[in-house]
Amino acid sequence: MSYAYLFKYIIIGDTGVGKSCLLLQFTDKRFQPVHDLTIGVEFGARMVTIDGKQIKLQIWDTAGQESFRSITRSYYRGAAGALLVYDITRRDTFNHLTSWLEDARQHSNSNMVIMLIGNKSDLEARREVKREEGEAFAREHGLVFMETSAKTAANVEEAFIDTAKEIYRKIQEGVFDINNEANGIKLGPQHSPSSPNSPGGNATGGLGGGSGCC
Amino acid sequence: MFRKLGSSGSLWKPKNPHSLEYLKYLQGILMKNEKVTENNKKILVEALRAIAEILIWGDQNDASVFDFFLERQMLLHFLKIMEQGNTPLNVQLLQTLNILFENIRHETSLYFLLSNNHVNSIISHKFDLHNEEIMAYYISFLKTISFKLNAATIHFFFNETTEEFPLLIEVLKLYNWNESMVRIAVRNILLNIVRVDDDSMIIFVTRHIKEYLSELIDSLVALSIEMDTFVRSAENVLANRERLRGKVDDLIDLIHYIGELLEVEAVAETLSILVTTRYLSPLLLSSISPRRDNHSLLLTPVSALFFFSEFLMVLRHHETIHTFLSSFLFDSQKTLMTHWIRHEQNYCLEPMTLSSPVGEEVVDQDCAFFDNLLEAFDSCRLDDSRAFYGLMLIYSMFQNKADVGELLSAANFPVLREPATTLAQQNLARLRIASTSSMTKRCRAITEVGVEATEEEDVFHDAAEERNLDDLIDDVLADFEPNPDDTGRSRFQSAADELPPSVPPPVPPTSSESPSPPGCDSRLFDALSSIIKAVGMDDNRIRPITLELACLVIRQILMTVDEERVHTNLTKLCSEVRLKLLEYIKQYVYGESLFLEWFEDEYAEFEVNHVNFDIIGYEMLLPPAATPLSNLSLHKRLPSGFEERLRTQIVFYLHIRKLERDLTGEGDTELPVRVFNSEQEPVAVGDCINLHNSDLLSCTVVPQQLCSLGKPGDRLQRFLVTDRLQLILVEPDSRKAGWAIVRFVGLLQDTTINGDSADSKVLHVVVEGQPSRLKKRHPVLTAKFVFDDHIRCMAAKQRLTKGRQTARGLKLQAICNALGVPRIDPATQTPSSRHNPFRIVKGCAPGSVRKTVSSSSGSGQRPGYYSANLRSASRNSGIGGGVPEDPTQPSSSSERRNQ
Repeated sequence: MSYAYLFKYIIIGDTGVGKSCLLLQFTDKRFQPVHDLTIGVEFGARMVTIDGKQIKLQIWDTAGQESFRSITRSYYRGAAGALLVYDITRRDTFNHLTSWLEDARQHSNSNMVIMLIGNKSDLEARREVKREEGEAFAREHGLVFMETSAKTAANVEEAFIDTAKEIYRKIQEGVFDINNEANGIKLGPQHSPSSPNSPGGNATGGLGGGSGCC
Repeated sequence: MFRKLGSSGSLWKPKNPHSLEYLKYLQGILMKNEKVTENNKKILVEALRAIAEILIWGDQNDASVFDFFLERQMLLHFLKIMEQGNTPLNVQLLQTLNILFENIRHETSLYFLLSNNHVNSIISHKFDLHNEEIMAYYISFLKTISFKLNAATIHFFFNETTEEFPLLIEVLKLYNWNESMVRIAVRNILLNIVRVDDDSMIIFVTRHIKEYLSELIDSLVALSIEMDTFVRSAENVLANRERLRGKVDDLIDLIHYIGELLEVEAVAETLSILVTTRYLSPLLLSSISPRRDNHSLLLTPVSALFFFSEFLMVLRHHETIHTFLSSFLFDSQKTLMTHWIRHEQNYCLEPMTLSSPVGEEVVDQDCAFFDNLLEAFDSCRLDDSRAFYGLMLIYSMFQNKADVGELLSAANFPVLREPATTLAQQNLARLRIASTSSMTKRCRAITEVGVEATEEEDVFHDAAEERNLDDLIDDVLADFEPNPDDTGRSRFQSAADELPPSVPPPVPPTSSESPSPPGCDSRLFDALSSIIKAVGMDDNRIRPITLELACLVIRQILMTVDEERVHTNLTKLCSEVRLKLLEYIKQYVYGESLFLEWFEDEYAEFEVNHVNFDIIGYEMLLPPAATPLSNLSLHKRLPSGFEERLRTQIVFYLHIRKLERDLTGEGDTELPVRVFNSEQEPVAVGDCINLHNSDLLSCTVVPQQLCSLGKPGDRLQRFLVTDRLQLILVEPDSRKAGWAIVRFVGLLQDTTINGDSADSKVLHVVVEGQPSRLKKRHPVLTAKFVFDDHIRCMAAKQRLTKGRQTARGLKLQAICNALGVPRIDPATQTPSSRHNPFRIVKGCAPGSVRKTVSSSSGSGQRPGYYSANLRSASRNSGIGGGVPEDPTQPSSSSERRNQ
């Protein structure tokens, strides 16, 4: 299916906060959470419409890669958006946000849109982190904030789509260099000249601006 | 949705979607729809999705589900569908598999899934990978699977007898894919594979991965050359820095990846040799020594030093680092026998043919590379880039985690060693006195380095055990023969046999059997001193960050070097340079009305530790910027105009002063400057103070911006009090007569006030907070003070204005005392002699329609002040009469000092 833009997202946060479930809930709504059956997935893609434009979202979960510095570094940089997820029923996952954010900020491109997600909002009875705390953290660090439930699907659509809207807005403002693949944004097939499997294959290949010969 | 499935035939659809019956029903659907058509496509997609769901349910609830899945060979159905190449179906199939492998919890279920060879068939199935969607799901599938690899599961994927390992083979094909997420996933999968502990697999892997590793290093070579080319020709503007950052990040990712591979035994040896023989020696070492062949592709020394430093900071593989460093420290250029050549679009590594030897003596000189590093510092008067990266390299040698302390000591490179420990601790104690917290942190880092260096000796000897690497090296270096007569070898034959022949053998010089610990190559010290010296010279081109790093490196070295001569010389030098800088600074102490702010700002800046190579490493590669328009902060560029030059000189002064005091062990009691009220402690918010017989002015405070007092629009009844230094707002204590509670405190020196042309009872007050290591100068109170009448307003204005003058005078005096500037009688002080400090050259913007610069902002003052003063000046004539406004002109400020 053709699209105007492709946005790459990553999902970050402690293990067990429900990252892969959020991802599956967003990309495949046919999985109805019943019988306490939690199903997650590491990758998903979905088309959304923003401002009348077809936009494809590709979401990559980064679980399990923490032990490889080289991998996490690269993932951060290849993404246009990040969902930073914590579990509202586990205070420790909230406490670790700062270090996740530091990591993200250090390695990502400065325009990456980060959305803070307090997941498992359906478990109100076991809540350990107040909504206000999430809001305050988001305000302090300039993030968009939302509480979601992968189980009831509450706010899941909004979380992913609002992030996309923010990225789209930045593109309109000319903040993102959409020709640089390293930003996690790709132009749709109709926009870009087809260049399958270019040699060298490095992300910034082809940028020869001002380069002389040595 | 499920009802739709029912319509596909006569199959009976069970109500419960989570049951064995339901799986049987789904299997029926797959059986009935073996051939994919337009009509059954949707049904099949949904069936495949539902299978994933029910299998996960089965894994957690009902073992019979998996039994059925296996018995009926349902993966075989998957394969049949796959072969028909329908995109949506294949996407769903791959996603179903992803869900299965991702969510299965029971090992037995996993083994069931893997137990026949179907998964391998799926891995090596020829998907249409140029379809972006398929590719993304396919690579995710491979990645998910790779996380399941371990010694127990490896044999489901790797068949020793048939020598088949589809996962490895398929993933190797994709390493250069044009999509970054795919390339990252490939690296991730490979790291997962090589870390599996299985001997036969490792043999297979080492055999098949060699070519990949070689290409990996070559891509590092290409990336480095490309980046160097960019650096040579790009201007230092924001867009180029961002582009450069992208390139540097790619490169550092690659170095990290290489570092992570080197930690895996299965590939370490091969990779280590490749890195050394294809990258480190022929590219980096060649680039930091004189050119010998006109065809060689060489990097600028700056780039080479940068890459070298990055390697040292990231890599911890002992053998690689040891080999490289020993070559760097001891060898002559003769050890370089290959070089990179450009052949049209490609780079090739070729043996070096020395048709026209550039002076045998030069080539034959030992320590050629190290000498070259030292030269970097001599050139620092013209441009400090090389010096900066030379420093970065030395710094990264200290930081390296590969246990090379002994090697460095052998090169008279000062690193803490065991016999030196106590000595070093004494030095440490000496240096630590009066240090700021950041300094102490730095010291701690050094001691840790030292500890590692002492513990490393055992490791060092173990590493030199015999290794039969001949085969490997033959493969790697098939293109060329090592120099047969061995003249290129290092002189340390004793250890030569213990190491691969291609790599220059490390080991201390024979000439110094028992090196006098802890030594320091005096040339190294001279080189470092030359940066200090350069700072004291007029029109030097040193940037503050370079000096900061130099001081840091010198401190590290002084931890280990306890030579009286070194200390004395350096102290003397620092003292000379400090006085030279002071000579310049003191001309402006009284003449510039904003000197106080500049000094305080730069003191705060000086306290920040800027040496963070995650951030600054790459920015200095581009030619030094000399304008704020470059968007670089002042410490990373050359100053533009008078104010910035003065600010830079202040920072230089502070660094040199600190270093000098560290050397003499003298604490700095005068900086940061503190002025106290003579009679009392400064008050703080929340204090309850006695205001009997104080001058109190009642007023209504209306915040204009959110502050600690309230939000814009609030109207707060407060009393205004001042002491010698502070502006204080209080609220009466309802329980104690004559006492009040402090609600706000700000420094008078940082208070600016303006009248209001519309309302003579109103003062506009802005109080700024003092700049600190963490926060720049910023307003802490922006408010309107409304008084009862005009006279009280005038009184407040007068009191605040006078208070400000006095407070600033006191602070400035304290700074002068700290700096050792004699008090100058303001009457004789001529106003700043500089005239028209900014130069505007009118001209056309490149490529634009004719356009001239219409106006400029005052260069001597920050924009905020400038406009504020304009406003106040106009108001001054309207109201306010004889009350003096803020000092804005040097002349007016000196006048007031006469009062």
